[in-house]
Amino acid sequence: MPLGESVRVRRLLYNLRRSPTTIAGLVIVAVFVVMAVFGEYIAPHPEDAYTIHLEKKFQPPSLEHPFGTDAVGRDIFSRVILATRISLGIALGVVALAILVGFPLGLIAGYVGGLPSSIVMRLTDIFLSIPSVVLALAIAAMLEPTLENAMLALVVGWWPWYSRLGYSMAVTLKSEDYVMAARSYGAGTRHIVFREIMPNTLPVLAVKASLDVGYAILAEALLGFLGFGIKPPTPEWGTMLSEARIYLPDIWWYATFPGLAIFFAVMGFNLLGDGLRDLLGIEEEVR
Amino acid sequence: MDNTILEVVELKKYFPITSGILNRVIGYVRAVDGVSLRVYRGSTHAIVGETGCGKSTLARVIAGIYEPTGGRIIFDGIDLSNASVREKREARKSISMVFQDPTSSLNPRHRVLDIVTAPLRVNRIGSKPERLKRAREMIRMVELGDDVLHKYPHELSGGQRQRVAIARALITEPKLVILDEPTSSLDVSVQAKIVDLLLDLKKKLGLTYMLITHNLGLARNMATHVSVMYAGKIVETSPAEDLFANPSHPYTRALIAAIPPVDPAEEAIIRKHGLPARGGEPPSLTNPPRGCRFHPRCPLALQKCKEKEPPRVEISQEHYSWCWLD
Amino acid sequence: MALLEVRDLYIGYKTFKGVLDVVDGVSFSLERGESLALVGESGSGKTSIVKAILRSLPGNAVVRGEILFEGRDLLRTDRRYVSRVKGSKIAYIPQEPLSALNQLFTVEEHFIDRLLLAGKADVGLLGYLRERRRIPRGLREDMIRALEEARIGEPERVLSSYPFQLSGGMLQRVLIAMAIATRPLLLLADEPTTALDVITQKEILGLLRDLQRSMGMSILYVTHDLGVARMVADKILVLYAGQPAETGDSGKILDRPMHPYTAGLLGAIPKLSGASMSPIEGSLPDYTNPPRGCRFHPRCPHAMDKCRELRPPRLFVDGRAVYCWLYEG
Repeated sequence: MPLGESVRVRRLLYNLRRSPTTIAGLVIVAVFVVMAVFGEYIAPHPEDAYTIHLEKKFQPPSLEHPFGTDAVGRDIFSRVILATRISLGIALGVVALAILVGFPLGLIAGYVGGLPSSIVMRLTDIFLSIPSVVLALAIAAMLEPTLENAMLALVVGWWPWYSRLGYSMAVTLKSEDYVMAARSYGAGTRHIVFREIMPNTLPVLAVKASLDVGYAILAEALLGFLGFGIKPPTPEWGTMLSEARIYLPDIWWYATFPGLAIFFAVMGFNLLGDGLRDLLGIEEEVR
Repeated sequence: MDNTILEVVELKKYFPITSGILNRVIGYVRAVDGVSLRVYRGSTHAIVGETGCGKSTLARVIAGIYEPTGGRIIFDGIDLSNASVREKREARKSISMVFQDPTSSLNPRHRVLDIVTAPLRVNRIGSKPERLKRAREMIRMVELGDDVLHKYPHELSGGQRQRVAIARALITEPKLVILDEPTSSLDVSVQAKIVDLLLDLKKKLGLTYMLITHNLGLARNMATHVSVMYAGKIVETSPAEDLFANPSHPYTRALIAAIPPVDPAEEAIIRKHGLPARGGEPPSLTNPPRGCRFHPRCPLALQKCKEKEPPRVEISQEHYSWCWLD
Repeated sequence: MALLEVRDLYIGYKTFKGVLDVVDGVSFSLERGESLALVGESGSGKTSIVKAILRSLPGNAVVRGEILFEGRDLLRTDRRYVSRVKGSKIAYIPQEPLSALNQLFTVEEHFIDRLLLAGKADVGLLGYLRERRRIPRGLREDMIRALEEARIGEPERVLSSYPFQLSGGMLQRVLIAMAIATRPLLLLADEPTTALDVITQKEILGLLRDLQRSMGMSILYVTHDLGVARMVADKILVLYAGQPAETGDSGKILDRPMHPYTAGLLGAIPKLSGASMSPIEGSLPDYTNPPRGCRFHPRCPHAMDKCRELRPPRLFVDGRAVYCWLYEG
């Protein structure tokens, strides 16, 4: 590994060790990622994504079924694990798409300035004035309840935030000396925005993105809870919650564990995002 | 005339000040307000002035970072204000700039190799292996080892970073290099080395330098010609020898008087030529004083100075001052 | 008894790379009414020394040695004593006037806070609110007088201005006025003229000199500029990489430098006389693994074997002190 990288990495690890919350976040996120990727191999009853065992319905938590069984006898523990792929996948996909759509737009608008960028930013403002979740709900309600449409709805609600972030970062960084230098040797807008400015926005973007994944998980669960997006029997935390609601408080395990899964997933990403902010904030050499 | 590599005629650069949602223009910062000068091939022409006098803006307009608001720039015989796009691009390749702070003028996310070859890449010069070869040549020319190419700026010292910035500026084989306070951000013990390097490279590559600085001592050391700038205008210009032997404009003399002398030799010069300014604030570039801009702080100001802008007066061969006193 | 006496000060910083030994055995004293310039390049430790006096070093700093102010060791006394002393007997002006002031408050409001809280410790939020309600009557006159002493032409206008409305030079005068308002015994100035133009710099330096004389105030001035040091200080202490090089009367040191580093520094700076700039070979040391003995030896044209092994002690020559083996015996 070239020398420069090892210095940065060593300092990152040194500071990481001094931040237990960040380590906690990292661990939690890692656990969920493993569950998302290897769900079928970890879950004790992977077939329970689709098969029903009516004779085993509403069993409380036990050794064989740590989270109990649901209304049609499926192992909740396995379903929670399997649902991770959907929930995490959608959340990550939504954030990634929102960044891809909104961020470059904002960067260019911020750097170029002038009338066209004002128009773009006012458009962004219009979208921003509607709460993203409400917007996502409205769109999801209008479309067929498929996974793709759920994601589309969320992306439409999310992209303006990245547009705004890109804009403000570009405005801040465009007066940096290295940008001036690039102009002095004849660099055009494309080079300056994507080769000079954008790499310097990545730490901030990473922080925001990790925090947003948490919110995206929540938003996605909400859509599922309200019946948009995922059709049963596909395991998904939100839909599991909505099924389980009516059985509270007697069949408490039905709702509690999917709820806890959401809680920990969101918390994990929040801790990670906060930790990244602290770590990367002091990453630059302080002489 | 053939010896002139750069001629600037009544150059102006104003920055609009806007207010309100509709961005109405309510005034202008007149950073460069009618500057004319001539830079000879092979010279080192220093533009001396304090912070806020507009010298950095002047440098940036000439370097192509800003478009001028008015006036003309004639480089190597070509008038850039009505040149074709291709001619302008050629000129851009022949004018380079080294910035004051090497920490901020190098993109912290790029390796040295990328930084140094960027001007070639952006202008589509050479193939990848050719660019690498050129980068190695430049790095060696600024007295750094090849191993530097794979490092990031934060792994280098200030002096090394400035050398990288110089390498980057020279890689397109420019004719004119603008040096904007090239040593101000460096440690004292490193400054002399960089100055040595710059003078060496100038000789080796046949360069012309435009040195922007607030440090009269540095100008004395490096420059063949000096122009003193105040509030967006040139107030005195002269071959270096002549300026320091016979400074004319009260502002030039105020600058000399303000230098804290480090040894008796400096003290003697200051005593001989220095003329302390009257107390006062540095001038506003949005609302400069009427008449001669220096008059509020000038110990020798006449009534005329408060009303009319002074004309150019010839003090001696190639030595001009803009002052009513002459 | 000297007003300020620093004995064998050592300051290190714990980082992921190891411990940076930034200040390595610095001693000096400052009498009442005397001005001393700490001269050195970046990394010489001069700013760390000032921070140590103010007890405002960052959490990862390790300090050894003594800093005696009026006989009491500031490093070992109760924090509350130091808080009381700061702002009343010891004042500080920073390098960047803009970062020391809050853009949301006028000069007057800053000043009131300064004067009300001077000499008090552990005031807390409630204490602060209580103090603000009982503003003594003569305070405004005191403020105007201090601004006038700092040679500010229109004190009333400046009082009601916000920081962004004032120039750098004016802001620095405001900070000086706030500093001297409590008639401090010691003023710590950390390169306050770096961000200013030469002409304003001269005025500020002249002002500080005059205040030193008229108020009998001691000044500890940190700078990298030898000319500024000569102008503002009676004595100079030249620092290299955290070690003292030489100390003595400013004029004498600059006219006839004894330590090779001082001579090198003088040779390397651009001078109005046009004398050539001769660089000092080598570069600043790695503070996690500094050179043994005299830290300047790798770059010194006169280095002897002894210099590589043993740190030179303080040697007195001609009424000055120099830390260099060349002057032994």
